[in-house]
Amino acid sequence: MIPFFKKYKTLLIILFAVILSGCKEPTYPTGKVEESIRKLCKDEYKLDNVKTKIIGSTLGVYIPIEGLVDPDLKLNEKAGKKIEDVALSIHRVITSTNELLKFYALVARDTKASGAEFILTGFVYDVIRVRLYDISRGEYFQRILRDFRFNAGIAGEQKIRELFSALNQNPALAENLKSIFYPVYIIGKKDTQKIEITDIESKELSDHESLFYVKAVEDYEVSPGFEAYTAIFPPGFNNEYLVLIDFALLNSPIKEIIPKYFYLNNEIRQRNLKDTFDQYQDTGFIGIDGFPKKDLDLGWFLSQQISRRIKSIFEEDKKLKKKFSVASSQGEIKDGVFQFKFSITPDASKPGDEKIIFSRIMKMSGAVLHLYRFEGYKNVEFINTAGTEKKINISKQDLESLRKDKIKIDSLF
Amino acid sequence: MPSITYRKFRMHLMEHWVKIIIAFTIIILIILSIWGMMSLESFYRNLTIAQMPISILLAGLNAGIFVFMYMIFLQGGFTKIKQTTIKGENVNIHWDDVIGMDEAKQEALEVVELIKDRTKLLKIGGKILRGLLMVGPPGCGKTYLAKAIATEANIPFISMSGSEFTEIFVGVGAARVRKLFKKARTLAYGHGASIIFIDELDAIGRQRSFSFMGGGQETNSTQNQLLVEMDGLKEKDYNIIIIGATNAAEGILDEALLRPGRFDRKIYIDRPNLEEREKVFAYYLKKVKYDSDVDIGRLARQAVHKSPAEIENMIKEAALIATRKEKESVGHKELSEAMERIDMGLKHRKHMTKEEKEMVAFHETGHLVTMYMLHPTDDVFKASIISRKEALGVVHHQPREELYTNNREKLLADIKVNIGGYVAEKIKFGTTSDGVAMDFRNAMWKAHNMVWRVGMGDAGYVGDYTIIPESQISESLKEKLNAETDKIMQACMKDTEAILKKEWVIVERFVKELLEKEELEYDQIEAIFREYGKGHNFKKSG
Repeated sequence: MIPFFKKYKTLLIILFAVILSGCKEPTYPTGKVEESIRKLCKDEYKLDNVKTKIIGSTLGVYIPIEGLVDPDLKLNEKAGKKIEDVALSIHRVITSTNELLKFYALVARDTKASGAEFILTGFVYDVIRVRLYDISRGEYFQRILRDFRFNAGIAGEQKIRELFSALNQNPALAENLKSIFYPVYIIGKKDTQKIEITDIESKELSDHESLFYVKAVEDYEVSPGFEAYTAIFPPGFNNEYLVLIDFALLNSPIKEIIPKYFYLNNEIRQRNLKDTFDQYQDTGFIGIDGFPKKDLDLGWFLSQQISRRIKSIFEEDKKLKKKFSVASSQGEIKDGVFQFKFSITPDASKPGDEKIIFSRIMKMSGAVLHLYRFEGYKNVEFINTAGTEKKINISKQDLESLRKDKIKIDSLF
Repeated sequence: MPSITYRKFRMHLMEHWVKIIIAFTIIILIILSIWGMMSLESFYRNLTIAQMPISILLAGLNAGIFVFMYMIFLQGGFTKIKQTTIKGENVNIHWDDVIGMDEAKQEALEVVELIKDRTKLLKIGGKILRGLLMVGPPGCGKTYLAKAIATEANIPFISMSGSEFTEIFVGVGAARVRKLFKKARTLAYGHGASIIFIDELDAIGRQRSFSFMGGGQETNSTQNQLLVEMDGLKEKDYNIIIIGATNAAEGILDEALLRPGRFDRKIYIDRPNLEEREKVFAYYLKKVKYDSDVDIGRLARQAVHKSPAEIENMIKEAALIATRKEKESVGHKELSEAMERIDMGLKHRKHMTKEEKEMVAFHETGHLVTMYMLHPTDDVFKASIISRKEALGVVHHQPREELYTNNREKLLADIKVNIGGYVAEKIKFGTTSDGVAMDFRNAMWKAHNMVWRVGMGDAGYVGDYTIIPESQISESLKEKLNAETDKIMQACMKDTEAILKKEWVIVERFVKELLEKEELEYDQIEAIFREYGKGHNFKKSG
């Protein structure tokens, strides 16, 4: 061995030097991820309005972009370039850090068109795998969640703020809505009332409905004869409202406003709005601030990915596209059960169509869950809501057997 | 004039510029690689390091395939030559190692002086030596002498064989000559001088032939390039000495090569004479263990016309024989056997009848006794009745010293020795065998030559009658000349018969010894003759 080292000592020294040059700490160490992304965007792409936030193991990146959407409601080319630059910066940082990150969510929001936003959600390990050529670029693109949508929360908040502002400026409107905005427009002197929003929380109930929990400070000068009310509602008291906004109602999207206080049977009563608000499930994952509302998990990520893949199967396969129409596809995971609801209709109903639909979707789902080695579920429910609802509930083991062609789809019908 | 250190440095640059550029590029690339690695983001850095083993493996594999293809298809390029460049001090063959060619050595010493004192020579306007041609038979130490010149002059030495220039493709040889001289010029620049040694010069130095079919074009172009380069030396003033070695006769080499200014000086390296052979034997015997009674003088006499290489080979062969016999040192017997093996071939015993064997013994004794008693120049070294090749027996004899002419007495003695075998057979058995055919052929050829060509007949015919066209020689003259030849043969026969009959006791003694021992060595032969008061008196060499 020693003669070998002597003979090749120059080569070994060079090799050692090259290998030693790699023994440095990660380029973006723990605690410097957020700052590094902002710095990269600023220094290399001249984007100085990028905001970052880490929620658990999820990295949130927010960038407001003026003109994100073109008049034809398509993503603006320049804006798309900016999103690419930020995404590249995120990829560079998340692959060269020792911070324990699992997901990233990039939100680009239009500063003009209220509520228009582009969301890119990805799994960090997928980014590494595509760079190691462990998965193809095509597969990688199927694994990213891309949403170009209208955020009902943002648009709803704007509507609420407009309404509260109008109340302060338009006495006629206030007069009309005085029973809703109880009691300030009843006990206050005319033109002295002022409602100021102090906080808004929102929940997306569907892709067009949002629920808002609004806190406000209300000021007024008491009208003669109502002085006794000041004991309960002193000027500058705190009030609360629940506002339901539905953008399906194009002209007047504010569907309902529920105040905390109301007058019934000659007495002032109050509701616990916070509890009511909390009872509703939030279907959205991006908050008003542009960051994820909570730490993302693999179960949720896979439910979203599979629901998108269900759509793409029937839209990208030429044969299937000719035979079937996809109206919608949604996915969620709750208590270890995946539920995929989709609406797929055969164009000319033939026997066996249902089998094709479920067979393709179930095999694809099984393959995706297998590729991610995801074990955190017990059952999967596939529901086709088109026509007479058809539902298949399959266990993890059966899904795996189906994937391996050990069982036939017929046995599941 | 730049200093020798600077010149050596420049020479190295000139000689190794490609290697230097490659090394420099590699160093830069390594620095850039390390720098690049350090500036990579940790993910790509780790990726690069992880891929390093497979990258090295693939690079090695690619390089291997490339080298393989290069070797297979290009064979390193047609003009690639195997030049062996050795620094003078590394050749390590000194004057003292050159033995057995005193005259050649003396001349070579002058050459060394000329190389060393070139500046002095230039000052006094002397002619600079450019080429030195060593001519002589193979194995006489031409290469050895050239190496000794390189060592003594302490200058680099490039050695090539003439055959290395020849190639089927026209122009390749010439390109090789150009490369060789380029290399020599670079070395001469750095070291002050250099020697090019071309062995077997005749391979490229033969007289040029001009054929309209284009045959010999390659040899011509190679030689032309050699001539041009040798002339070129004068213009550039490089101190390069070309030493050519050949065993071809002078007439074979092209005249242009031999004219002054090219191979100015010729050294004839001939086979060593007796004294030189003794030195050669002494030199090579020193390298093996040998018995103290080995007579170097006798060995030298025995090895007439042997080259130093043959003598070296003989001693090596003797050492092998001694080893086979499990002897600790080489004795005269082994040396004799080795010489016999080289000269006469291996023994192989044929099964002969007792009568046949007796006849062979008388035949060989006839040669032996006639030679010993009558021959003026040759000594008998061995007599044997063991068959070798086609001969059933042999009497090995050598001249006591190099003789370059034959007088009448020697030729007559040769004839008598030749027919000695026939005479012995006839005296003993009253009949003869056909084993005499070759003896008669030799004897007749000598007698015929004596009369027809060199005027040694008794009748006074002087001149070379063989050059006269046969049609112009009269039948009577032919008859007379042939009668003269016959007369010589008859006279020799008579003399031989007389001597053998006179010494018949000795003949019978030798026959008895040969039948018993099959072979008799010089000492044994000498002892028997001494027994009968006929011994020669050669002193043992010290």
